[in-house]
Amino acid sequence: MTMDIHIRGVTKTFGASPALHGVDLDIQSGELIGLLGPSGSGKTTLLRILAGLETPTGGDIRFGEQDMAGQSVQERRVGFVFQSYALFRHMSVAQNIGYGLRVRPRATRPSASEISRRVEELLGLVQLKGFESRFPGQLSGGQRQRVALARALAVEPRVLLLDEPFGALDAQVRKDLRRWLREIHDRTGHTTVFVTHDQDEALEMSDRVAVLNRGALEQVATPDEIYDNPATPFIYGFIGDANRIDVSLRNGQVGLGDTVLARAPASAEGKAELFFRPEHAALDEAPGATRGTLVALRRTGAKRRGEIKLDGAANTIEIDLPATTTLTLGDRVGVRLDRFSVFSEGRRVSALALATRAA
Amino acid sequence: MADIATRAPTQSRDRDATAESPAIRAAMIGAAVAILSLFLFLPLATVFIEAFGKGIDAYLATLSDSNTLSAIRLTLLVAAICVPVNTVCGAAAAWAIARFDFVGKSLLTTLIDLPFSVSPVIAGLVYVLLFGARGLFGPFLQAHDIEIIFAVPGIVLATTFVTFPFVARELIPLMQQQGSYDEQAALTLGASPFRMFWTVTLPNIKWGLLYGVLLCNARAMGEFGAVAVVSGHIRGFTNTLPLHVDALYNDYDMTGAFAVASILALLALLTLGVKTLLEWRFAGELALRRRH
Repeated sequence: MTMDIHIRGVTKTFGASPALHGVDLDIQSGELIGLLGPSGSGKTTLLRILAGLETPTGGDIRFGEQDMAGQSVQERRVGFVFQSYALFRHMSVAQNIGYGLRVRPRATRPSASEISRRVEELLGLVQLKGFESRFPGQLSGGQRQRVALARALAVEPRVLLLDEPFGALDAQVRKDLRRWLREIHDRTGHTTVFVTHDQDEALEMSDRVAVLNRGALEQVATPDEIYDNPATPFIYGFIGDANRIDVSLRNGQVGLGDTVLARAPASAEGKAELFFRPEHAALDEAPGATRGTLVALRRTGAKRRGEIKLDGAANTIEIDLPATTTLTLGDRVGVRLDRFSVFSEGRRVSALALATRAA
Repeated sequence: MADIATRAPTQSRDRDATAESPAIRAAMIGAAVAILSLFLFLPLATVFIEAFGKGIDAYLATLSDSNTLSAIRLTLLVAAICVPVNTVCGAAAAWAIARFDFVGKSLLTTLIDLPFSVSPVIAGLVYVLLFGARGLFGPFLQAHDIEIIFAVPGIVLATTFVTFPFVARELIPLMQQQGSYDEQAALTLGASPFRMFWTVTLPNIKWGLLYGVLLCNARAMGEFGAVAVVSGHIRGFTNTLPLHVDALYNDYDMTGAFAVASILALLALLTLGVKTLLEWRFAGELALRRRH
């Protein structure tokens, strides 16, 4: 039995400092959603509020139709996986996994044989058969994390909440576990919310990503949408690489020096910021393209990164170039932006999406 | 690290950089053993040699004396009350300090240490000033015919005060270091707070708790200063074992004093023995916990 979650206007203040202000988020049943944000953005606080480990200062949480206000941690039936695993070190793997079933009141507690059957089944799911009598101290980090997940799944939770599930693991183990967790999710179908500060993790695993910054949601969208069409300057800076140039809005046009880059609503006037990703720009010698000078060239994996000083821009920008480029430093080039966003006072006033180019 | 040290010995011989030469090692071990023998083993041996100085009969006669038996009973009774009280209160105080933030927390932490920083005699005196005949609550207690000073309740109070820090001191750093994630995990899995305490909290702190209880017990049985002030030294009634040793010594009954002292020494050795046994019995589990 899995649940949709509705978060309405949730706020949380610790002493005088606000950790969350007015978060609204709807999570569909069976969805895998990543809460992504830098440290101190309030993502873990939000997760702990969902679990009932923290009480919100204001706002509502509903699981399905049920209001969670006044529902204790135990009553919420959530599976919570801690970053530090929080395995019970004096219990074996099997005892850890069965804990949530053993502590049930007698009336609803499964029989001992039923519990061990369920533990056996979960050990299979997390690929730890044969480890049942080991203690947490005898397991690797990745194995501990899998035990923690099995323990959370044992209680048949209505939602699964994971706090930085792979935060303490090696890069390679992390990658394997990401794929594996996604598979487990697809097989068991639990509504899952996980917290991460790792953008790759969020983009790779989630159905949707919710980006938090300073206690507020910046954008909630699919990974493609988040990466290709960031809704705020913060997301451009936080996820992936981005270039920023100062532009001016005049007469319904976005201008850089004398070059007109795009159209904008006529009401917008004054200074603005234009953001684009290095891979969303290309060299273009057509007349009318923005001109600039190549000032640096670096090798980055399969491609080269060219640093270009656009005429009339205060700072340099970076664009992706093929590894076979014959350009040398000081060459004059024309640059075409295939996809970008223009923000004025934090609001998006103009954008160009890739779809218009592909046509 | 060890690999590097053996592959590239910077010393003239194959030896760890931190190890001393055999001569220095022998001298240091020798000095440690000599000091331990002089200050610990020798006095302990003296207790037993003196106790049996006039033969086993004199020893047994002292032990079977009714005043001695009453002192043993009183000492055990005091420990039997103090230790459980301090275990529960100490654990509760440690829980409060390690788990919650509240106004006056640092004051409470300081207060817990107070019995260690105050001379036990002062501790005893405080109770006399509070509950004595001319003390703050003296008239009230007399009117209701309640005896505290120069009676068993006073001894229990003074001993409880002096031994309070042992359990709390042992648990606070342990619980702070462990954090509360295990407990939160138990709650999310549906455990009631009571169930969580017995199945998660207690197993996590049991070693610290046990050490605290053993130390508390040793001190409760051996406390002299605070008890001496409040007891009134009524033989057969308010003399604990340490006070009885003192009384016999003042009577120039050396054999008797040492015979009773040997019981105290045996209780101390028993405590040490239990501690060692537990450490040995659960050595594997202890090692695992450290690796975790």
